[in-house]
Amino acid sequence: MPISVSVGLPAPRLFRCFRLAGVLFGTISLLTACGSGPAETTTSKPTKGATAAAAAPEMTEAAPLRVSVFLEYSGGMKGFVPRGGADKPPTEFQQRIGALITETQVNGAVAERKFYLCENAAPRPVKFDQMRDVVQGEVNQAALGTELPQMLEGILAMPQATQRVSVVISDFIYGPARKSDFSQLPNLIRTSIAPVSQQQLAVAVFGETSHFYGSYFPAVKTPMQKRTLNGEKVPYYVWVIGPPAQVARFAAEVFKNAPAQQAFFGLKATTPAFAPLLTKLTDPKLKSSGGTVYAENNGLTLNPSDDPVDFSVGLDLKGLPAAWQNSAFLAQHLQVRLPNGQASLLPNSVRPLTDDEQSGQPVLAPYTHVLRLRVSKLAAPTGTLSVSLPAPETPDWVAAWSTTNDNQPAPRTFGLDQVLTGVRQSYPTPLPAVFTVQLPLKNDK
Amino acid sequence: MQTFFTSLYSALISVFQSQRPADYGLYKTDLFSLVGWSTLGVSLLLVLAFYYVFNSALRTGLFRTPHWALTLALAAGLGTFLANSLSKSHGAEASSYLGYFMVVNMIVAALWFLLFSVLLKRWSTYARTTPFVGPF
Repeated sequence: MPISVSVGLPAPRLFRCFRLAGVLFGTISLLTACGSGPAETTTSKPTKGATAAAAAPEMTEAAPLRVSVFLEYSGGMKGFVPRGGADKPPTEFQQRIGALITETQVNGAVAERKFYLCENAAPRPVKFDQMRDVVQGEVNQAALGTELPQMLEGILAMPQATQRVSVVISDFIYGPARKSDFSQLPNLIRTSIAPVSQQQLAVAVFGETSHFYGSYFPAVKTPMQKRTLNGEKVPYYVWVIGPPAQVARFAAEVFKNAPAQQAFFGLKATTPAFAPLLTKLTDPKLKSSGGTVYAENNGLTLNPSDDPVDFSVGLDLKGLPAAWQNSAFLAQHLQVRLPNGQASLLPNSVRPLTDDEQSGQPVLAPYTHVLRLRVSKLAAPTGTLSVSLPAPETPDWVAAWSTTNDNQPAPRTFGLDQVLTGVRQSYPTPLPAVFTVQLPLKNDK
Repeated sequence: MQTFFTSLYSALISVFQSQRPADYGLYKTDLFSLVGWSTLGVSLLLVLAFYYVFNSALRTGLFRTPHWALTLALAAGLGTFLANSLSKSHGAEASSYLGYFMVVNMIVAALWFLLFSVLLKRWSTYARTTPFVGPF
């Protein structure tokens, strides 16, 4: 481009140049003033679009757990805790319960712990060492034992029992002394745990069979009052009773190596962190597809009219019991609802996030699981999509572990189904959902 | 103005692609108005430079239509560049939508340049009739 610079301007023209330059600078300064003003306000605003997708989860630190461990120590329990030695392997009971009380003693999630032995009277407070001695078989005497309802009643009558996590370890063999009581087993149990009904506490039941060495007292007393077992396997149970969120936390963080047989009643998790994952994802399988979908005002704006919209959401489920964190379980039980529309959970889309994904992608860090949702219809201008985990009913193993005659020892417990029916009746039907998370949707029209 | 820019860009981009990307929220709240204002400013600056610096304050002889067209091309190029760099620096992901945004902003920058040219050329000393005579 040829540039010819004129040299030696006549005076009047020079002045006009300055005048024009003044006008020019004035305009420029005016322009930058009005041009940069709005630009600054937009940049100083939080970038909603980008962060709404990764909305900061509620970082509420869970209250520390206060735990009371009650070990029934009667003649019928003594067989679980034989005095071992180098040549005798510990029973399953000794391994599991030894680990459980140790974890309760040392785990950081437990702020305060108390240990009690349930003999024939009120629970007797003992030190951790004493309880460990009992579990490893270092104590000789054992009491006569109380009936199950009285024991449960005594435990829940402890001061502040309904605000604490009560862990009850027992064989839960309930053979009432009065024959007439047999007809009322569920009701007797339900009455004995009345605070569970009244305050909607949660009950978690863990069952396991263990080798048994010693006197076994069946609930059905004929033909034998008691039998001496030498290593046969019989069940024992751990019940965890307390406020729902605390029971969930105890199961997830303290009773980590729980046995496979688990049943939960009235369990509720604190609302887990939940958010749609749309942007800043490296895995193409997590990215949204189909029609328009974008984050806006803590919700999603989408347009499923042409193509169904698929997108991933993150959930933090570390507060749930291990069995409920299982992908297959979640895929089977999670419910997706969208009134005035159609939404579903895509099959085989629930999966836990790997450590690499969580640490490698900041947007995934707050979540333990991802799942993929499909919205295929949204009739109204707005809608609320909810994902909930309805509480499962009493699991099948309970029936399989129950018997009506336990005189011949087997890995079954007399009337277990009836005992747990009593627990189940403490809650409404259907059981309240374990958690529900919601996501506002808007139609992009 | 934000609403104006949002509807302007949304409408123009939807000519190419109707599906909005996952980070459309970012475009809506931040990028459209930021890029819109910047593009408008750059076009206006180039118009002022062309008519009042190079063709009023200085007598450079750059008043012909090809000079004007080259400046317009510079405005259009800067529009593309601004759409890309501002979007990326504010966290937009590379996507076809961003590509079309760049194309649309190129056109928008050229249109602003044309508009300001027509409005402001009459007070220029040497380029009063570039690129055409009139309308006032």
